[in-house]
Amino acid sequence: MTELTRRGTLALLGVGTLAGCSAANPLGGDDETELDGAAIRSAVAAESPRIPERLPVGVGSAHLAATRERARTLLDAVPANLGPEQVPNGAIRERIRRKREHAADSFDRAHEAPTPFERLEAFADARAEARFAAGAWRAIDEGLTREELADEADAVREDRRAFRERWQYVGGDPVAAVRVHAAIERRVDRGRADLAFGEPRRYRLGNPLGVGEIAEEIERARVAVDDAAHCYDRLVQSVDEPTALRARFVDAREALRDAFEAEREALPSVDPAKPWQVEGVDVADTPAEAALDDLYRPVDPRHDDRWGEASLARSLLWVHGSFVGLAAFASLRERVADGETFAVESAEDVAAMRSDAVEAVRTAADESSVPVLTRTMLTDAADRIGFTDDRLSDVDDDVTAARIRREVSTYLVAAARARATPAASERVAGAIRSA
Amino acid sequence: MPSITRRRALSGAVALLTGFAGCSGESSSSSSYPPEDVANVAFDPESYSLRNPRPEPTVWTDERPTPDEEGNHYWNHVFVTSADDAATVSFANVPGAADARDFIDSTDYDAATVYVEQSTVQECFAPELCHVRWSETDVHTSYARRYRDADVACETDAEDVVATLVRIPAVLDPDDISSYGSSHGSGTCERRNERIRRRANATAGTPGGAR
Repeated sequence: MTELTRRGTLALLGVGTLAGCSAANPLGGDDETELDGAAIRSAVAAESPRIPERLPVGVGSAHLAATRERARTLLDAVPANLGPEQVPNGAIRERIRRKREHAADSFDRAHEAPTPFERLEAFADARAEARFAAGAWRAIDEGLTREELADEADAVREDRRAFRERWQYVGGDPVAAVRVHAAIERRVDRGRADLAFGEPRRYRLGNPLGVGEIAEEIERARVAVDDAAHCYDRLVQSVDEPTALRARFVDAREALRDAFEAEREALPSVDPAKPWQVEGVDVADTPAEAALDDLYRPVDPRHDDRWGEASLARSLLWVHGSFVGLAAFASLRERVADGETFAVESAEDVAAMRSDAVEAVRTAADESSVPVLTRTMLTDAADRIGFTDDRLSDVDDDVTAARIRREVSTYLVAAARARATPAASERVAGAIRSA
Repeated sequence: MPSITRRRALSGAVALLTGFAGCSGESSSSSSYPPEDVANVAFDPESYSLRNPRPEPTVWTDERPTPDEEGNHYWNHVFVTSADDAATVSFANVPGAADARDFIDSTDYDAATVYVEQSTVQECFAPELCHVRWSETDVHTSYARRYRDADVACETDAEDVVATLVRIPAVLDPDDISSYGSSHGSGTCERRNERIRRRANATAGTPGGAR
C-alpha cells in the first residue's frame, strides 16, 4: 500500500506496547543508560505537525452531506445501549455494541477531520461499522437474513462494474491526476473490489453477526464505489479537456524504474540482511541501526514487485516513496559513515531528535514545489512522529536508552524521509510531466 | 488462524500430539510436524454434548471427582470401551444426561470407542466438534467455536463445562493412548475439515482439494 494513513502507520509500527519492549525487541540493545523520563514526556507533549490527507480536486459538500447522513441513519438504527432484554446473548450483544461504538468514534472523527478528504474517509469507516451493528440488530429484531441482502450486493457489484467501465486514466495536470487516481484505485481495485461479498465466512448460518458481517461488506463496497465515482467526476469536471494519461503513467514508471535501479546500484554495497552495517563504524544498539534497518525496507530489491503493480497510479506513488526511501537511506548512511551514531545519552538527545524531525517535516511542507506528492509522503512522516510521541508519552521516570531505541529511531526515519521528499517529488513529477 | 489449545493428559508424563499451524515449541519427539499421517480421521463423527452451568466434572467413571475449588480451567477425558465400562459412567445432573446415557449404552463397542472430553468454555459459546483423529497412541479433536443463539441468556465473563461424547469408529486401548490434543478455531467446521481433507489428499499423493 502506498498511501500510508495514520492507522496504516500504526499497524506498521505497532509491534507491541512499550512495556516489556526491550526484552522482546531484537534491536533493543543493551544500553542501560538511564534517562530523565519526565523530561522525555514533556518533550513529546509539544505540538507536532499533522499533514492531513487532501485530494487536489476536493470533495463536494453535497456528497459529504449525503455520506454523513447515511452514517447518521445507520447509527440511529441501533439502540445505543443494548441490554440483555434486547439481546440475551452477551457475546453477540457486546460485539454489536462495540461496532456501534467504533462507528460513533469514526463519526466524531469525521467532524474533527481537518480536510474534506479525511472527513470522507472517516464517514466511510463510520458507515461500514455502523452497518455491521445495524445489520446484526435487524437480524435479531426483525429477522433480517443474509439472503435478503443479496439484491443489494448485486446492485453494488453492478455499480462497481459500470464505474470501472467508464473510468479512464484522464486528467489535466498529470501529477494531480496521479493522486486522484490512486485514491480511486484504492477504492475499486480488482482484488479488493471483487471480494465475494455475500458469502458467509466467519459466522455460521443463523448467527445474526453473520448478517452484520455481510451488511458491513456491502456498505464498505457501496461507499467505496460511490466515493471513487465522486472523486473521478470531480477530476473530470476540474479540467476543460481531460487528456488521456495511461501511456504517460506507464512510460514514467518505466523511466523512473531504470533511474531508481541505477541509483540503487550506485549505493555502496549493502547486505539486505544487515543494511545498517557500515564499514569501519559500529552502530550496534544505537537508534541509527534501527533507523537504517527501517529505511532500507522500501529500497530492498526483494520488495521490487510493487513496481509492476497493476494499480498504475498507486505504483507511481510507490515509486515516489522508493526514491524518498533511497535518498533517506543514503543520507543517513553517509552520516553514520562520517561517525554519527545518534546515541542517546540524555533526554535532551531525544528532544533534539524529535525537534529535528518536526522541523524537517515543516520545512519540507513549506518548501516543496510539488505539494501534491510531497504532502502525501509527509502525512506518513508526520504520523510517525505523532505515533512515536504517543508511545513516549508514558515512559517511566527511569527509562533506559535501550528501551526507547526503536522509538527514537523513528524520529530519525521521519526526519530523513521528510528531507528527502521534496527532491523526490520534483523528480517523479518531472518524469510524469515529461513522459 | 485457529487458536490452539492442548491439554496435557492428567496421568503422568505424556507426549503431546503435535497440532496445527501455530503450535511450535511443544512438539513431542515421537510425532512429526505437520503430521503426515491423517489417515485415521472421522469428520463430523457421531457425538453428543452436555452443558453444565457449574464448573465441575460432568461425566466420570467410578468415584465422582472433586470439583476444582479454585476455578481454574478444567479439562478431563474419559474412555468408554465396553458395556462394562459404560456401566461405571455417571453424569452430573444436567439437562440431556439421559440422552448421553443412551448414547453410551447404544454404542457398539466391538466397532467403536467413546471418547469423552470435557472442559470449561465461555458461556456464550458452544464448541462444535469438526473431526477426530486418532492412532493407537494419540487422540486429537478439532472444534469450531460457535456463538450460541442470540436469545440464549449468557454473559461474556461466565463459563460452563461442556462434555463432548465422541464415538470414534475404532476399538482403542486407552492404556496405549499417551497423547491428547484438541484445537479450537473461530472458523467453521467446513473450513477446518477441508484443511484436513487437503492434507490427507496430499499425503495420499492425489491432487489437493480446492484450487
